[in-house]
Amino acid sequence: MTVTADDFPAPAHTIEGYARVVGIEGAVAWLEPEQTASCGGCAAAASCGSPGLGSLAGRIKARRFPLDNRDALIVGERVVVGVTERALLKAALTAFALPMLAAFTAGGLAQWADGSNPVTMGAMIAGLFAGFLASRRMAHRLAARGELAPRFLRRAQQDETCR
Amino acid sequence: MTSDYKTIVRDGLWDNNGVLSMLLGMCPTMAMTTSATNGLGMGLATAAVMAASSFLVALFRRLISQEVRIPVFVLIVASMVTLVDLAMNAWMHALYKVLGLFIPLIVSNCLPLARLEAFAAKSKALPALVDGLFMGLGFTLALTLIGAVREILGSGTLFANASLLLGPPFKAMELRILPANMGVLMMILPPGGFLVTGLLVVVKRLFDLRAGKEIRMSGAHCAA
Amino acid sequence: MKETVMMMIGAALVNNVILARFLGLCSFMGVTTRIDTAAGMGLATTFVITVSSMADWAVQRYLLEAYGLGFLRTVTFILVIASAVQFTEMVIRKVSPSLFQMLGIYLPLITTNCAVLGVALLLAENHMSFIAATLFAFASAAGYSLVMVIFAGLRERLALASVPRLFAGPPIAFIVAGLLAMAFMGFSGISTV
Repeated sequence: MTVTADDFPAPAHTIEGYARVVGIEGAVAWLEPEQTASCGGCAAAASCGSPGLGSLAGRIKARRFPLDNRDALIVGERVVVGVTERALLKAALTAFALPMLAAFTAGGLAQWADGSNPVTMGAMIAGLFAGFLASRRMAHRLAARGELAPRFLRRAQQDETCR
Repeated sequence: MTSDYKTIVRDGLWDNNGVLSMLLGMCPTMAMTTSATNGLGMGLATAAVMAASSFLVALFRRLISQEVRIPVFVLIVASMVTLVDLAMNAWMHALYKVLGLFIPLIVSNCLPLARLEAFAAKSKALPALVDGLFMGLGFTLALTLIGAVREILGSGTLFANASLLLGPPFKAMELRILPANMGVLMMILPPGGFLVTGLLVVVKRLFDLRAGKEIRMSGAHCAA
Repeated sequence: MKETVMMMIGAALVNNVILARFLGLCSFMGVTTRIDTAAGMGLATTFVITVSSMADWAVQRYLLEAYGLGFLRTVTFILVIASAVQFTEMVIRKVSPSLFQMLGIYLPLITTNCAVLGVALLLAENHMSFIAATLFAFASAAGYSLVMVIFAGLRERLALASVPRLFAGPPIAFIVAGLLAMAFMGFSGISTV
C-alpha cells in the first residue's frame, strides 16, 4: 500500500511550506525553509535573490527555526510544516500595520500642529520607530502564546513540491 | 550554453517568447498596448536596453562577484534605461510623452533581469548581445501584436500616429481597418489589455501544441 | 481634508495601481493563489511603498531638484527602494525573529515590483507636500492590497472550477483579471483628483 500526501490532510486554514532539516541538537531539530519565487516557481528557483547585500543562502540561514524532534527526524530530510492563516495575518499586521499606524498618527498630528515638511518628516520617522517598539512587544506576546511557530505536519514525500 | 545563433534567435523571437511563453514583463505589456505604435515603441525601447545591458554584463561577467551580482545587474539596467530615456526625450519626444512612466519602469521589468541572470552572466559578449536583442525583439513582436489587436478592435485603425511617433517615413503604415464608430472602446481600456493578453497566450499554446511541445503551466521565475 | 480623502480614494480605487495603471502585475499573478499569502504580500508591499515613498520624496526634493540632477531619478530611486527593502528586513529581524521567519519570503520579491517604483515616480511628477505624498503612496498601496486579496479569492474559487486545459493557469487568470478591471471601472468619476 503506497502512502500518498492525501493520507495526511492538513487541518483547515493551514498554510504549508517545505523545509529541510539541517541540524539536530538533542531533542530539537533545526530546519531551514525552502525558498519560493514570486512568479510561481519553487525549490528549483536557485536564481531567486534581491538587489541587496548578502546572498540567498545567508537570507535563508537567518530564517532557521527549531522544532521538537518528536518524530526522530534526521539531517537532510524534507518535511512539511504549517502555520495557520490567522497566524500569518497577525504576523503581517504586527510587523507592518502597527508601525505604519504609529507613523501616520504622528505625521497627522505634526501636520496639524505645525504644517511644515521637515517637521512632519521627523514626526513620521519618530512614529515609525515607536511603532517598531510596539510591534516588538506585540510579537513577544504572540510568540509566547506559541502562535508564530510553524508546526510539523508530516514528512515530505519523495517528489512532492508546491504547485 | 549554446552559442548556436539560430537557436538564440528563434528562442528569443518565438519559442521562449518573453511575454507569451515566460509571462514576464506583464506591466508594460498591458499598459502600453493601446495601439500598435505604442507597443512597437515600447518594445523597441526595451530591446535597446536589453541588448545593451546583456552586452555589458557578458563583457564584465568575470569581474562581478556572486554576492553583488543582482545589485550590479540592476544598476547596469538602470543606467541603460536612463540613457534610452534621455535619448527618447531628445529625439522621439512624442513617443516619449506617450510611454511616460513606463520607460523608467523597464528597470523593474522582469524580462531584462531574468535574461541577464539566465544567459548573459554565463556567456560571451556577442551571444549575449544577440540574445538580449532578440529577446527584446520577441517582446516587441508580442507587444505590437497585442497592440494591433486592441487597436483594430478598439478604434478600427492600425498603426495610427506612426508618423508622429516614429518619424515621417512611417506615414505609409497608418491604416484604417474598421469604420470609426465600430470600435469596442473596452479594448483600449485596461480590461481589454488583460483579455487580449490572456487570449494571445492561448493562441501561442495552440501553436505549441501543434508543434508537439509541452504547455508551460506557469510563468518563468523572476530573477528577483 | 476633503481633498485629501478624495485624493486617496482616487489613488486607491479610481486609478487603481494594478487594474488601471498596470503596475505590480508580476506579483499580482504570482502571489495570489491563496488569500492569506496575498494579504501578507499586500501588507508587506504597503509598508515598503510607504517607507520608500517617504525616502524618495526627500531625495527628489532635497537632492535631485536642488542640484538639478533630475536625470538620475531612475537610478537613485531604485537604490532607495532596494535600501528600503533591506532596511525593512533588518528591522523586522531585530524586532522579532519569529516574525521575520514568517514574513521573510515576501520582502526580496518586493524590490522589483513595478508598483513600488511606479508609485515613487508618480509622486515625483506631482509636487505634493510630504504628508500628502505619503498618503497618496499609502492609498495606492492599499488599493493594490485590496485588489490582490479580491483576486486571490477569485482564484481560489477558480482552482475548483473545471477550466479547459488550454486556458488553465495564466490565461484564465488574465481573463478573470480583465473582468475585475471592468468592475473597477465603475469607480471612475467618483474622484477627479
